[in-house]
Amino acid sequence: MSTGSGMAVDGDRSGATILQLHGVGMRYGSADEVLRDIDLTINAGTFHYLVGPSGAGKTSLLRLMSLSVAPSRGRIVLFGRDVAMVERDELGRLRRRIGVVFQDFRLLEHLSAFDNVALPLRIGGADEEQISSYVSQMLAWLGLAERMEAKPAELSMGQRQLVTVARAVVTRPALLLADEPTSNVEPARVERLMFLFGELHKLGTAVVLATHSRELLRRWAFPVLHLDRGRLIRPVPAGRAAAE
Amino acid sequence: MATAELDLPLDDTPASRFLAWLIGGLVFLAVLACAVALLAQGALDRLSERPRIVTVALPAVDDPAVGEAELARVRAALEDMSGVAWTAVVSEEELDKLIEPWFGVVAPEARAELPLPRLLDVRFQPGVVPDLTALARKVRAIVPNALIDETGPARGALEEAAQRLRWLGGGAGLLVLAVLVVVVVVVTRASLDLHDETVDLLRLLGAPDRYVARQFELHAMASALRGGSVGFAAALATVVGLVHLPTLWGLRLVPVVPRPLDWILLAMVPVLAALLITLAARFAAVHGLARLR
Repeated sequence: MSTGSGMAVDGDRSGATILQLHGVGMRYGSADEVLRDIDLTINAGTFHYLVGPSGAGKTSLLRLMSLSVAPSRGRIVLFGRDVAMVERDELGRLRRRIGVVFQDFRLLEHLSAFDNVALPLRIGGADEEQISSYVSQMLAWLGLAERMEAKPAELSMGQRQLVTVARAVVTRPALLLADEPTSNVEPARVERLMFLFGELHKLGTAVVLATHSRELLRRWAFPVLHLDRGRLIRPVPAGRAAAE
Repeated sequence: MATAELDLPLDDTPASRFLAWLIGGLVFLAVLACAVALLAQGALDRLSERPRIVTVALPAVDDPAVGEAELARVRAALEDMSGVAWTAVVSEEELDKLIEPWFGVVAPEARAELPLPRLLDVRFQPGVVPDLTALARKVRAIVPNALIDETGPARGALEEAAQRLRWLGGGAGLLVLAVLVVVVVVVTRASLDLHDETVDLLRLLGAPDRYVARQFELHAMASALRGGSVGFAAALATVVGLVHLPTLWGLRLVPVVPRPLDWILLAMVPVLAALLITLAARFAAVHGLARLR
């Protein structure tokens, strides 16, 4: 990973470039920009925390990176494609290579936990046998084997968060964007989630994890992207970020 | 484990929930309208299959021998015409009945005093429409003052009424199908707006427009099959009731009964409706999604 300052940081394995943001700014409607002059490169196999005070723009940056919103200026290049130039169908293909853990879960209330997790696989055209195998294994590994048929309303907040994580990683995405993925999860399961993210990272997935948790930064040391009032400031080592 | 449930909760909205009922009602009307058109067509076909009879009236002549000769020549000429099955001279008894309303019962000796025309029935083969102009030209070449008249004056009116019913039924059927398409487009667009967050999520997960549109298509198709079969069954029961039930009490409300082909054509109406509904939902969803990025 490198920022606009051109600095290389820990965790950069210099794999293929996954995502580049060039001079990106973003605003909602006619309000002031919530993100300004973002220059960022994310390579395959990297792991970064995204930290910053509330309102710094973490969620907005993740939304930009997941192609959920368009920048008001600047350029985003994802998997080598300028996203402003790609066709609609191509945009779908690019999005299928990204896993997103939403802070507000965004689970479909009328579907079971199993079907929520199966969603990206079905969209990708996987066959039902494969889906059944992947989803069952994933949910069982996260300790939700008994809750596969439960609807989101029947799950605890922590369980919902785990389902959201399972949905994001079940396709083994090239880029995983997680917005506070451990905030509602009990400590024992946090360990398991971080192990899961770490394994994906080892397999080549680029992980960007937005968090407020100093505990995470201290226990699992990865480089930190620090956002402050919409600007990305130079990366800091995880230990120092936790201390700050 | 895996279910075939749609990703979009389309049955959760009133508009979508009532779509099946709306479709049922409109299919019911479309089938009825088409039944009217087909029955009218059946009546027209039956009318055209009935042999047509034209009556030729030759003015009275003083000399019976001359009259006989004219009659023989006219009959020979007419029987030579294509489509003519046979000709027959109207008997004196039938002639008496025809004039009875004006002259009362006429004694044979009195009838001889009346200048009654000689009537000739010309029967055409079934399905042949007589060319009255050609026929008149041929007859008048032999007897210049001959009168030509097609028997059964109500027939033209019957045909006209059946033709009108046919167009009316067909037009109403098409109109109902058009309304069905509009209803499905409106409901699909409304559902798309209502579920914009879920649609947005699906697209964020990488769903292409055709995947999302397929959700609306499948929902519309399922509603079409549910509602369409109910509407079709109800329409069928109505047609059978109107055509056959009154005969149990010796009544005949509808002069024709549907033919086997008519039943098949009627069964095609809900199939056509389902196809139109599915295409309309797909069209509306694809166009609605095109507005989003």
